[in-house]
Amino acid sequence: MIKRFFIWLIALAFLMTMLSGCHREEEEEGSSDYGFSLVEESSEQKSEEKQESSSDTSEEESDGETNEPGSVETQLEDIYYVSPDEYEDFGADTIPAFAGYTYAVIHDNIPYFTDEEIEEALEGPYEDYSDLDELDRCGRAMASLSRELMPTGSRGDIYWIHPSGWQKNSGYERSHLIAFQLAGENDNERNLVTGTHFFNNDGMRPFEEMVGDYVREYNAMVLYRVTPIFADDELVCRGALMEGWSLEDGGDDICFCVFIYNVFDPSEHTLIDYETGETYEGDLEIAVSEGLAGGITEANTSEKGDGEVHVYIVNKRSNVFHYPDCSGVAKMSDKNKMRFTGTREEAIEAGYYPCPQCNP
Amino acid sequence: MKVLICVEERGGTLFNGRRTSSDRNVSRDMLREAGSLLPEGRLLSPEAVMAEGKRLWISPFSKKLFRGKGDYLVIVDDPLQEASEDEAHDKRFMSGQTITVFVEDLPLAPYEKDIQELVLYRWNRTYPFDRKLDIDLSQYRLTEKSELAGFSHDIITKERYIRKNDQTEGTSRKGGDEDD
Repeated sequence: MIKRFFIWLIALAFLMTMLSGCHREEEEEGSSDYGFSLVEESSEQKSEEKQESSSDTSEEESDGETNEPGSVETQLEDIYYVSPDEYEDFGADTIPAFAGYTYAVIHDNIPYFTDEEIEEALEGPYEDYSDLDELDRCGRAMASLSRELMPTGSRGDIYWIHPSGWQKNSGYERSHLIAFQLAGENDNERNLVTGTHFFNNDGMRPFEEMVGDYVREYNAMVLYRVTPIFADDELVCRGALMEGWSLEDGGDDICFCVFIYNVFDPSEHTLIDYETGETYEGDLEIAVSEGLAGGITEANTSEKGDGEVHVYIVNKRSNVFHYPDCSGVAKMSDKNKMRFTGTREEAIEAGYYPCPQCNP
Repeated sequence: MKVLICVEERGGTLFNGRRTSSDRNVSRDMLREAGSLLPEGRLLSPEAVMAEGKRLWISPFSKKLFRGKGDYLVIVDDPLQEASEDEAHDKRFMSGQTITVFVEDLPLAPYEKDIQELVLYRWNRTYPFDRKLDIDLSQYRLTEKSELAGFSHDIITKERYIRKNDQTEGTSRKGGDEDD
């Protein structure tokens, strides 16, 4: 009797799997609305992707579960990019292509903190700011946040601080790396960079609010790091890597790793000369494709196209295109994949950005 | 079914599989909405709450927000589905009572037809989000708006909605509750 029940159960599970497979194929076909040729995946490719996916760590797998709580409408689903494995390797050449959002998720939204850094932070609150470099630029700012560090009074004037690249009347804001509300650092020049409102208010502030309210609510500690990313000798940062991790619960409540873009709102049509801080009129999308904003990757700056037709995989959400064997494709959800057949130039003309990792 | 949900300024609910925010005063108000916390601030006895069906239905995801209040909760994997099934059963066989469900990590849209009342807690803050409220509020009528002092938030706005095509709307209108 029990044996028969299990056989029935296995048959039912098989039937369910078949049905869900059909549904996915329907979704793939639906993407042909984009007007590009769709080709069938070969079984060999499917097998390779499966192997790459299964080689992910168990930590990533469990995170995948919590990241997909049902079919709730998504805002930024799958704006994920291939990121360096080490914090030290994240730089101007690994910034994901700007896709119109204030931030991009880095390293699967898991901060780069080491076990040692977490253990040290658990010992008690602290804040640490890098010395200015030879160009008077800020470096990473890091803190083990708690209520103790939070200010009790209101913020004072900071108009006399001129962060690297600061230009008067250019629409910039003096942007705290670690927000005043989190650690009470008001006019610390090692904590202030030249930033746009899009960067400071639209990009960084939501994360600062989320962390601040959490610390206040639970009297909890959060390990927090903000790293401005400069390209070469530029005086204005291209953006900042922001990381947060709630310490007492092992990241259950606060866990993020994002890059915030230091650009003017695209609707303002104002661009930054990152070398000097001067601003000029222009189109952000073009600047990004030329490596003049966002990241400076070989993919963005070189004239690489060989004029040959390739099959690329486009992420429908982020508009980034990859070679099919790019590890970024393995991490992409099936429903966001779209095949594009054409030359590199045609893909860029169609509005897609080359992946900074596989550099198609 | 009465559904409670918290949203940030743009309707966001979750980021990276985590709630965007929480506030103990909101959790307390949710028990009030379920009927287990009396207006004067006293909790009903667990026995009375159980007998009168005034427990708050949540998923395990929300358990952390109600520490020590297990007697006042029904914790099930999919509270929307189970509450709608339970209500349907009650309507057929018993007097029928509205179940109050707090939702954080589940889609509302599939159960929209079962939602008679929606209570929205607005954090009045902008947080990052990658999941947002998945129903169209223009299909609902705002019947009440009030402010709640938070513990870690200055002011939380509480809004009560009734579905426009819901029969209960007619009842509400007769009562002169026209504020939108």
